[in-house]
Amino acid sequence: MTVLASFVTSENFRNVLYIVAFALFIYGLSGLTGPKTAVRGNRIAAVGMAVAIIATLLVDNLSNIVLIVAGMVIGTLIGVPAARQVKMTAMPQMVALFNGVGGGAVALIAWTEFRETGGFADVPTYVAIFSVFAAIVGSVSFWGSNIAFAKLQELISGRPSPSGACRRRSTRCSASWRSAAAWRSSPASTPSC
Amino acid sequence: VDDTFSKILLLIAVIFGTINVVGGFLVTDRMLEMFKDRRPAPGDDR
Repeated sequence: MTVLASFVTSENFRNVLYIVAFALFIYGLSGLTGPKTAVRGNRIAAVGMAVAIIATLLVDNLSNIVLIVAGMVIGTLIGVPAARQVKMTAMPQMVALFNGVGGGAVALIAWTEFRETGGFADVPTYVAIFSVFAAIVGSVSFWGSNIAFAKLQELISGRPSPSGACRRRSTRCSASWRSAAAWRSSPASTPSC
Repeated sequence: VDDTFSKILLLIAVIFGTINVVGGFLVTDRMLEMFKDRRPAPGDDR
């Protein structure tokens, strides 16, 4: 391996790139605080994200690089036209879908982690705890966002739909579902329960 | 990761993650563009 290659794949160099990335995130986010600088801030944050992804791909002896690049190409081919062509009036549904796939990615990674470590047998407890947390939050985001998409697209009714335990014990849950619905319809008020 | 099923899961995860990142930044860009003041301000040479 040449000197340059060993430098680029060294952990120190990657950490420098991560520092550059989060500096760009913070700078970009501060731009999002005002309408005049928001577009620029968002683009700066996007550059930060690109730097962070490149830094991650520089990990030495990265296995399955072909699959990773293939996934990024497919994701770009789906994401770019979807974001560019969606009508502004359909934007809320699109944002719900984009949000959902982010959660889906997290849940799938946690699932694979579970499979690859013999059900978290080979990892420290804190890793197992955070992986389970990621699995729960990712799954809730994914399915919740898909339901949000279906409601906004008017594929299903927009009314709150009790499920699982709520369906069985209808009296107790209906109150909380009603207050949740009231809270959702007027974000300024707080749930009464 | 060597297991085929895990590879499939992670490929979908990378696709999902890329859609999330690329799509998220692009729709944000589109929406923020709408807040731009299209009338050139006095002294603004854009």
